Amino acid sequence: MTGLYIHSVSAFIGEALADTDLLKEELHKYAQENFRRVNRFILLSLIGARECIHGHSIAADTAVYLTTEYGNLGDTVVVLDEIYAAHSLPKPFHFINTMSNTATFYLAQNLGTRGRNLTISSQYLSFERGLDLLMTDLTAGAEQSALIGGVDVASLPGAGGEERDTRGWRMVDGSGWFYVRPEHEGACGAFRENRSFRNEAACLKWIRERGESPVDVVAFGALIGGEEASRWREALRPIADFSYLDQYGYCGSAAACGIGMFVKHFPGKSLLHINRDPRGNYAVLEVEVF
Amino acid sequence: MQQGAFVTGKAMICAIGETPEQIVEAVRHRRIHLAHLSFPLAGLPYTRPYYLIMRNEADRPENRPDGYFTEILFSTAAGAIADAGLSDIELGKTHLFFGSTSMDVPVFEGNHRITSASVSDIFLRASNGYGKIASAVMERLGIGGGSYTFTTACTSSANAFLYAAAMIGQGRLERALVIGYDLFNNLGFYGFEGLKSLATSTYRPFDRQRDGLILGEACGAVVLEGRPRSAGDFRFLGGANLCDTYSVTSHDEEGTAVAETMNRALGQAGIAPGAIRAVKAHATGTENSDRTECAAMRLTFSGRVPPVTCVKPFIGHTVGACGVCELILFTQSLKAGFIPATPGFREKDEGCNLTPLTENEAVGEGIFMLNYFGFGGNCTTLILSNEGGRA
Amino acid sequence: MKGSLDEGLKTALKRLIVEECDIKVDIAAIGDDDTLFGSDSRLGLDSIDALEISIAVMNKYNLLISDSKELRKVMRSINTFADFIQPG
Repeated sequence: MTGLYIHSVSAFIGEALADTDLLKEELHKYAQENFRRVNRFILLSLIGARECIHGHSIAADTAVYLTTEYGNLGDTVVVLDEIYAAHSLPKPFHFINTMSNTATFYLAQNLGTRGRNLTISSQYLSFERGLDLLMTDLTAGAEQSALIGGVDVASLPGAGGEERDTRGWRMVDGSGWFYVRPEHEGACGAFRENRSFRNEAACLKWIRERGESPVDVVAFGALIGGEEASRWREALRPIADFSYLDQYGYCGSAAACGIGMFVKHFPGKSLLHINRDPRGNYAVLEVEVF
Repeated sequence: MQQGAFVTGKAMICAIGETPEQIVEAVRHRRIHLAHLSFPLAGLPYTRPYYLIMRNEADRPENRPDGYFTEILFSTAAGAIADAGLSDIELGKTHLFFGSTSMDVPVFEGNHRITSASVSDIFLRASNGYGKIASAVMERLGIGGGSYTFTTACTSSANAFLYAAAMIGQGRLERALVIGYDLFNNLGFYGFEGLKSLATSTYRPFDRQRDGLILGEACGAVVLEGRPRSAGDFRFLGGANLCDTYSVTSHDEEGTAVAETMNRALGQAGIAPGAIRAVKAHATGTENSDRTECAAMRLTFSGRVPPVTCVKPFIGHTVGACGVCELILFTQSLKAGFIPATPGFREKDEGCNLTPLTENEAVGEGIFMLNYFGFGGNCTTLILSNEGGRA
Repeated sequence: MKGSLDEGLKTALKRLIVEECDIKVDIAAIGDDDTLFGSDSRLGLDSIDALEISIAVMNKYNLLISDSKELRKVMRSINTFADFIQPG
């Protein structure tokens, strides 16, 4: 994987169920417009993305890739209650906002961009899969710059709980974004690898074979438990662990937020992020911070 | 041997049939079935038409058993895999691209009939993220590889197809199963009525008397591979996606953003507008959307618009599923030797100033454009070809 | 009493519009004859706002406005809106 340079980054972590007026205040640090008809998910998307590009002028054809586990879950609940409990037609904007791509629409409108505009999801690996699509577009020459982010509202009790390792992480809102371009000049970091594996053995084999390039820090996705993490540490012998889930809390887009935090806070270091989905597929991201 | 991305297998179920052959025959002879559904939960004194899957009484929304959602989904996915003739080893190296608007909301609405819990409670307890449906298909059918779930409103499965094809074309993937699926749900039916977008009786895209869209339900699946399996397998030549930031629910009526999408797709395919033999329009039948699309086609084709067909009057607006489902309906009709007429069209609209085909038109091989638009300003164009397939 | 003469109703409608459409305007600043829709109007309401209001009206006053053109006519100003709700 070459030529995916990070030119700016953000990682917003918010308290679960915080008043949306507080989120609007946060957004006003980066954007002066009055945003109507926006919900928590859209506000989170705007906060993270606007913080990310703050101080940058971005090209008109910049693409937007929003990766998410749950999307606009909140408005889906509201609309179901409007129909089934209040016995009403749903309010138009609640219904429109059940479609999660309204967040990327408001973002593109606010930034004045007219590039590719996608909202995608892939159980526990949404951010990694989003990067796959971004690389496809860059290779095809369909674009020269992109904003890619992971956004999720604090996940609700029960949602995904059975599969996830429950180590007492606090539930948070998260919005982590990366402004990426193919050129090295002016970059603060780079995505060096984005690899997918059918199982742990295939992933381990690749890690053993790449031996010549040691990593400074490792981090693990939500489904990798303590015992398994020990096996990876043994194989990789990193200088340190970056336990972003313990440190910042969990949301569906914790990986994007955690990697964003790493890029912000660890200049000169490299990170190997190992993640897996419930079917046992693995995805490894390597990030280098300049 | 040609390289690229080829549609090597397909399966579909919708209001007019449960096999591509049935669907094409219904399209050829304009056999259309419209149900009329009411809004009992909101106590409204009228009905609106809907294109329901209605093979028998068990298909009625109120009769649908637990597991109906997955039965339709798994059988359609399995049908496309069987049509392509994929082996178990090939399935292990297949990736899944899924596009939907309603996702698993019909499941939660269905559960509501059999428990006393509120729908939103069921939804909150059980919802497991957008990616869950794709994972279930992969587990059930033994599909390996990664999964990509697209939630871009009405362009969802069109974008799923666009990226699957692009990734195969670049050699990133060997093979993909692309699914578009939206099943009847009150959230969508009541939601679009709240937007006053639903037509009252007949679907008439581009017509002067059009009065909105008619929703439909469908599941469509295609297998995409780097090499054709049969002569005449459609090849993906190029495509594009962009965001028209004019409004979250409507487009700039000048059509510039939509035209730009078509032009970028033509550029990616490396062909001139004049090479397009026919266009499958998105044609929702709503006031603004139809005017915009027609303006965009006139811009793109410099006034010389090729034959245009609107296929929603056959199966309804299947929202997130329409990308794959309309692709199957359209390409299978082309394979059968005709470009479908547009049922319901009677009178040209001055604002649209475009007459779609009103009779089936005989067609051989060619290059075809398929357009899709959705809420959130999402615009997607695909260019497919079956030229040279028999060479 | 005709709606346009009912100050209580007009205040309630102004509040309903501001709340349903998520607009940051003091309701005292909305004139009874002000145009409500279009970019030239003070409130700048659009077609989706009209739909939001129509659903609120259906729920609160049990009045159905199914045609979107009629909706815009009815909601030209607070006075026309009030007369529709309460013809007198």
